Amino acid sequence: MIQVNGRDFDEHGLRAKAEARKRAGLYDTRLLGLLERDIRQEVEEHVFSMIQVVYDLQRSLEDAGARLEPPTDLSMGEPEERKGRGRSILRRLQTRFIRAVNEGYVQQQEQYNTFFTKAVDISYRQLCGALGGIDLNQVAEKRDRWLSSRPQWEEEVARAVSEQGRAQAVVVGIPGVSLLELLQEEGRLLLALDTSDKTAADAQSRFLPAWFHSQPLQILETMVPQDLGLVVAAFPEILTGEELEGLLAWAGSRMKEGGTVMLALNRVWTEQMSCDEGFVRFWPRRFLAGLMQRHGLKPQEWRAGDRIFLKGEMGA
Amino acid sequence: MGNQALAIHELLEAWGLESRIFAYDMDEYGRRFASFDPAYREFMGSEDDLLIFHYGLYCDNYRMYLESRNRKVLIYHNITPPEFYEGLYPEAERLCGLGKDLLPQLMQGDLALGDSDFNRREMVEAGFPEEKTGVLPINPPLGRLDEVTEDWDFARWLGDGRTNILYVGRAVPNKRLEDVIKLFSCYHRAINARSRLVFAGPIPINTYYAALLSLVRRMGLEDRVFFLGKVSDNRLKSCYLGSHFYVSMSEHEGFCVPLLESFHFGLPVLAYSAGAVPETMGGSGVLFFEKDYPLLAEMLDRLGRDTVLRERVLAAQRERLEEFGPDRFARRLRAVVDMFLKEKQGSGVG
Repeated sequence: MIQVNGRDFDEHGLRAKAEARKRAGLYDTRLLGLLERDIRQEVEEHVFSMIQVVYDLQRSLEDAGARLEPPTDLSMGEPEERKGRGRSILRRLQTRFIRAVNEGYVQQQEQYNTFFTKAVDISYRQLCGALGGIDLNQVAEKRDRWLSSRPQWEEEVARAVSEQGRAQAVVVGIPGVSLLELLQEEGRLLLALDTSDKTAADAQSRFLPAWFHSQPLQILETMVPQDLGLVVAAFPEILTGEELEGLLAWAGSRMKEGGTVMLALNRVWTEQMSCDEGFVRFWPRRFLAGLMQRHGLKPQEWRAGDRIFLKGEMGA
Repeated sequence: MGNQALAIHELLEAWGLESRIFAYDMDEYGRRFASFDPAYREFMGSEDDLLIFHYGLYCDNYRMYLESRNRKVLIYHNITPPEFYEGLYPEAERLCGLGKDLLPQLMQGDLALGDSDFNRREMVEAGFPEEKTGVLPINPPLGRLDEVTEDWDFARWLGDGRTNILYVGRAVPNKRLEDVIKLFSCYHRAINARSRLVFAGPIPINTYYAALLSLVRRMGLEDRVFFLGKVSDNRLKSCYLGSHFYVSMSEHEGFCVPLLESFHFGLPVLAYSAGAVPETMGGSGVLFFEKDYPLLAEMLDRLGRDTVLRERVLAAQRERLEEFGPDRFARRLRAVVDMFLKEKQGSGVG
């Protein structure tokens, strides 16, 4: 029950919408399962239980008479012990030290992660700087602007691509909502993923299952499609080389004969939206074809309207 | 707890009464006003003094409260039920258990006040005579945030066009931050990908924090859930001003000041009905009794789109906030102090 300003709120509209989104596939079973997850399961499944081990050890040592911490009670302790401010400060220092040791390793891990992320970022910036001493902020801004634009496929292109493959489809990089709507109408769209939250939000507003994630492959790896038949990468430039390899490996291992992967070759038509070369990866056709072959897909050039694709089909 | 002690201290001094604060521990700011509790010993013997003992955490200075010959008022800020810490922070579980067990022993004072009726009732359930209990609501220090400027860099980050969902408070298990993350996951995954979740507040339990980060990663929300840790007043103000909704999933609250701060800064509040939350909300805002995440995500969406509904909620919240003005708090405190002053004059002690 929901109350707004102290009065019961009519939830029928909300419930209908939530159900409609579930039916449209915006909530997958894994997400719904995670909603039931107890936070303690996260603790139990990780090394964090070490904290409990250290604590239990400390308690059992104390039970056995070993005095690791000063008494918690200021007014207790040995009669001859000096009480007062100095003693109190010392006790606090000791307690904090022991707790810091107990829990320090988690902090160290966090610090290491932060350090590592920063180091990678600094290295990237230094590398860019070495390439010509350009204003890095401006370049980054341009690059982000370029990558945030998505190729908007014409209706005929979207229709032609939606007719490829069979069974369930996954789209990486959303080329406008037309393709998603066509796939959804046929009941084939499993999920669309994008590194731009804007395109994902546009699709969501039409009840299309679209998620934002800065590394889409991480989401795909958690999915277990029943019958995957089509993978479309409308904008492979948003993926790193490793991620592309991962995407094709993921598709290759889950698709049966006749399954299709469509990789858009954007280089040929994106000159007008390109920024400075060298800062955006246009994946060479040979590289993409090589990846396809490595994962059991037979590549060939394929055209729809004025767009060119590399189409890979699973062999027998 | 510290804020209320300070507010009482300032009022007492303004009324010409000598007041001192003693505490077991304190931060840099607190050191400007308070002394460490051993310094209280020299005042324990006086029957003319009034001891106001704030209790919200097990601490061995309760012995001083019991031994003191002062007139005594207990202000109970509530103690988290220990089961919330089970499996996450054994030391806190132990201390909360001790704290709860200790409550009935603190009955010997002259008056016991809760900062909410929820806390007062808990004292009555623990055996305190009802006629010796009352409520002294918290005086939220909202002026403090009005006086500071925003953290402009942070405000720019928040103001990038995305929908910001805010939670303010300590990251401890009873606050159920994991449930806020679950609600956000529904909103972000199914309704509005252009959104982020911001947690502002100290993170005292590493185990719990690590578990939350693990859940965030499992849900694929790494780039959209932010733990700011303890923030400056400037940044806190930016959080309130730059956010679109305040969400509380807490299952145990003795009062919940951030709700009132959200009211103050015009943020619609969605809160789970538990502890003193319904009392603090006082019939304003959005209160829910069941954690149906997809349904609540739709409610967030509705509040974001339906400006009439949003304005109705905000108007009710503003109205509710007026009931927590500093005058009301001062009047209630004055009544408590006068009661003891009159008794003192009546008994001829001077």
